[in-house]
Amino acid sequence: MEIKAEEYQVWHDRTNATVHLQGFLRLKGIEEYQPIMDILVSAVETSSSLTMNLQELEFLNSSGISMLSMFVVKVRQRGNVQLTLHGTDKILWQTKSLKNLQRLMPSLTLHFS
Amino acid sequence: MEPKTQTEIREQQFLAELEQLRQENQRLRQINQDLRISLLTTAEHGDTIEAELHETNLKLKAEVVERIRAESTLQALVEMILQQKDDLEKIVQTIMEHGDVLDVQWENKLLEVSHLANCDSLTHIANRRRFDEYLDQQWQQMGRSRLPLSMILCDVDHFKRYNDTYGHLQGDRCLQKITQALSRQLNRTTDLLARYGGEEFAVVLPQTALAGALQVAEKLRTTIRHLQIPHIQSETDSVITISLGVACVVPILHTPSAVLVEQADRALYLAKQHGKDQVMVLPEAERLSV
Repeated sequence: MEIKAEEYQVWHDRTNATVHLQGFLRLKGIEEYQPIMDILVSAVETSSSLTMNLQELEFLNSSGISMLSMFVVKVRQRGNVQLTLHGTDKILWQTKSLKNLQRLMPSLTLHFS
Repeated sequence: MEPKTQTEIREQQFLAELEQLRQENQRLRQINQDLRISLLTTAEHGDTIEAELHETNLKLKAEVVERIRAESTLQALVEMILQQKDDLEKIVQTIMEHGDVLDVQWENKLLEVSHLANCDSLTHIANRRRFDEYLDQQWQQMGRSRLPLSMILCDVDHFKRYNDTYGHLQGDRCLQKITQALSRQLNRTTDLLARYGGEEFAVVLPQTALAGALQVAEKLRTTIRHLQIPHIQSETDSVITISLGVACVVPILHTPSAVLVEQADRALYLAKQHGKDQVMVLPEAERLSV
């Protein structure tokens, strides 16, 4: 599953149970984020662990962080999926917001590079 | 009347007692029957009440079970709502803080872009664009305050030959060394050193009269000479030297600042014509009126 647009790219690497998000995500509202949410939900349905690679996601707007928050809550409610977020401390928003996502799901693992 | 015999009297008494006993018997029978009825009625009444109590008890037990079930459902619902409330609060906070951090991220980006737009990539000092902007700004400010504005235009002597002799990479390094040396000589925060062109540098000196500007220019010239950067192909000397043109004016508002640049450029041309490695200013007659 893959979404490729001019400013961003999202794809699911099944072999490594990883969803990669790259570029500038500035979609309008939760509805426009639904295709990305679908990729994420289907990824946790097929695996007991999932890594989200955000290292090259330079920008994520408020609707995007909202979608990500709701996804984290969904994963927590499933109760049987180990979720890992792989970010970078070179991108300012990641240093703040990813830690906040961990508050929604304390078992979530955070990796900064 | 013949008196009753003793026997008769006794018989009469006996009959009377008998009658009395019969009546007593009758009364007791009646009481017995009443009691039986009463007992039966009480027993039946007790049975009915017991049945009713039993039924009520069953109903109450069922009600208690139902209430416990409802309470547990309600408790689960309350917990779910509390969890959702907690999640929503965290999500709202996440979104809010995310918005704030994005603001900072955009601002940093803007500063970075603005710095790149104003900075020369080789020497990391102000570029031509920034120079023009700053000169205009100071032109207006000095014009309003009726204060002198000076500028120095300097050019590295025989730099084409330097590049041809030592290569462009060495040429770039030479320009970087010159920039660092020039920067060190300008101490006021309002002074601006900019890369004007290839090997040309410009200095804007607000609130500086011609004498002061000439002093600064001379200091810049000797500084570069003292760097002792070898230049074997230079016709002026064996080391890198610079020529400088100085101009000064009290700006007149609503006139272009380019006149100051033009004066400095002409002075620089004179310095080049007079043998390079020197500071020149236009003859008084050709200067703008101060």
